Amino acid sequence: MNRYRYCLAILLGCLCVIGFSGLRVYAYESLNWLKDTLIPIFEEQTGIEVTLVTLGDAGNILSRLILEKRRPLSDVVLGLDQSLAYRALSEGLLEPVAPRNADRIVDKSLFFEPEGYLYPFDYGALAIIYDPDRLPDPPTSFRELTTRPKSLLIQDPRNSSTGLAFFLWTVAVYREDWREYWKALRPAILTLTTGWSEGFAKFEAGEAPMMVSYATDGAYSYHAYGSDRYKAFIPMEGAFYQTEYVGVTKGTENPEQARLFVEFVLSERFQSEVPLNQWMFPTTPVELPEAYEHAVTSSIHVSISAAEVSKNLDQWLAEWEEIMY
Amino acid sequence: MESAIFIPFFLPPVSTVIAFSLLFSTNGLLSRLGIHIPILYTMWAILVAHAFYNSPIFVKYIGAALRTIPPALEEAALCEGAGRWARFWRIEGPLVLPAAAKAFFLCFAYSFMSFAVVLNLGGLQYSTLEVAIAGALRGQFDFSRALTYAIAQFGCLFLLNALLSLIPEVSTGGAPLSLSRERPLRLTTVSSALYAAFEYGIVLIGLLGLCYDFRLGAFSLEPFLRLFSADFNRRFPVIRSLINTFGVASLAAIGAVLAAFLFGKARGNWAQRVILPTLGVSSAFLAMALLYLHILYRLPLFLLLTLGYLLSTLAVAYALMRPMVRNFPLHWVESAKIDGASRLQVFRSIELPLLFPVFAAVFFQVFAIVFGEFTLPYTMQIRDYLPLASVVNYAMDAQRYYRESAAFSGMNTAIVGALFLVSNALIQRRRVI
Repeated sequence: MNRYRYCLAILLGCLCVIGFSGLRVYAYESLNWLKDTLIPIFEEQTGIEVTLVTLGDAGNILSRLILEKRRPLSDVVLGLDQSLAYRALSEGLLEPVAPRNADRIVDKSLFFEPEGYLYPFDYGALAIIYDPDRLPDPPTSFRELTTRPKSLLIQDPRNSSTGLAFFLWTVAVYREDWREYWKALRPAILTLTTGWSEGFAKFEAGEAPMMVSYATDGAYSYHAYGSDRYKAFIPMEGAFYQTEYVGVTKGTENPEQARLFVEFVLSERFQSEVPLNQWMFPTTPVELPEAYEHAVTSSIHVSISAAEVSKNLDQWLAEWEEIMY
Repeated sequence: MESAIFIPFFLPPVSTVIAFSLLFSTNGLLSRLGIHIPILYTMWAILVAHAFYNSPIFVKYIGAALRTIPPALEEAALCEGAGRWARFWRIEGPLVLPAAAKAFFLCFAYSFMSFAVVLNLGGLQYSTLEVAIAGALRGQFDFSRALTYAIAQFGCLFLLNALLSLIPEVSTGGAPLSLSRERPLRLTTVSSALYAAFEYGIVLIGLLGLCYDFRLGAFSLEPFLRLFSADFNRRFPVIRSLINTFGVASLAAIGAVLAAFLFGKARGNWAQRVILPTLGVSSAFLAMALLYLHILYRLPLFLLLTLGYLLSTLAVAYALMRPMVRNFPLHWVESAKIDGASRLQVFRSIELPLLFPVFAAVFFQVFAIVFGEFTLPYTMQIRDYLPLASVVNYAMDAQRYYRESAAFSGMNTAIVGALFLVSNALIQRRRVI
């Protein structure tokens, strides 16, 4: 019998040893590119071991932070955007941090109030991307978008930050009439994906000719295929910008190491990788690659205040669900 | 051959979803052949996928019931001049009905709780309670809504299980027949062939992904070999996921087999009443409970996941094990006890050797279910802590590594198929004993 007991003890011992040390960074799925590019550089520079935990889309990061509020398992949070940041702050999930290189961020309007918690590391306008081979005459406005049955891929606003940003974009454009707009848009939607990555996989597989994505996707197309294989357009009603932030989890056991990571995210090394990997604009002065000339822009900007979003979002999403299902 | 029809039932759901998109997407195999069947994200895709998955239950139950009809009954009917239809309505139909009803309920329950297929093929309009629970927990963290759905799901399946237990076991006393003496109708032959082509066609497409590049239309082992390269493993921990999955699935299957054996030996029907309703427990909800245990008490995920799988497969293991354990000749056990053997000695020297093929068969079937299971690790989002094959495969597909994803999916299909064949060979050995 003793033999069995020894085996059991060794097994339990092994299970307990399989733990994690170092810094845990929560990010969303499409930030996975950091794993084999920038994370090894940070590890080499600082000697700090990093575990990058990718959790679906940014909405999933927020729910995991709420779940872990009492006993946080993460140190750094990468990828919350303005619509999620408000909730993260009001729930008290973040800790103030003072990266020494924060002054590298040129456009101060990108900062999230109150300052000191979140630092913008990239931003970009949302856009509708399309395959010109399958859609030679793309729509030009939100209204026209509703006339193309089963041709648009969108992300679930309840799970995905891109999906939520698209939803808020329509609210910013249509204000009180957004419900009517979504009723009209519904037949044009082929399907709803849980995140941007899943959506883009389906778009690239040719399942639908249009998808909600980013204005820089024209640049991606030019870079990846050497041509404008996929084009993007911003509906004439105006552009909606999404800003993504890095912050430190409240209750982290490694505040000093977490600060170093935030500094790394704002550093030249990290920021210069943003344009061609993250396909968003960096927030610090970095020379943009040639492909970025293919990114679409718009002179009209629409937005919605974080306070208004926070006050109404749950109600809006419940109503959205009623319309969609 | 008939038992091999059960392979699709054990296929990893992610592999099935990948096979469906290889077949039906606008760039898929059928489109290239000029056959446009745009069913993805429609009710049709969901129906076809669930028919693919669950129809083997009907084949198994109805096939087994047909074989126990005593030949004397059929012969008597023949002597009375009854034709095929008369025999179907008056003999085969009524005698097969309880088995068909059981298969119907099981099929209903599995479809009712479906997750990966509906999540990926359900599109905009279609959802199951399980998908809604995972969405509420992962996305908005709406605990009360998830709990309401979980209770509703449990209630429905509890009722279903109660109804199921009302169906009487029909015993005709007939010995299993090996072959029908009549030639089957041509319609039966054709429809059986079409059915087999449908089931195995999808399995074959999945398997082919291992060595065939559907997008380029050429054979290539390159994506498969890349699965094991160091670079690729840095981004998608394929090797680690296989080791973890084998570890978790083996331990959970051993636990489920032993627990099912002990419950199967229990007198009366209480064990059945307690265990079978656990089929209705939401896996997404269980996942969240396990994750919370990890967060609060830092319990190792490996242990929690093993326990989770043990709980979620116990009902299946019990259902498979119970008839064998019930029919075990008790007089051998009693003789051993009279001779002074302890419980452990009885188990080691009598029950284990005689029931070993049964244990092994149930072990492999539970192992195959756990191997492909997707709901728990997907809802827990633990791919970077404890990668398992199903979620790593899903992530590859989501991140557009289609060729590698199809190769991994093909390999997982092959593993499950091989496990099934081993398990089947063991059952055949038991029949010999």
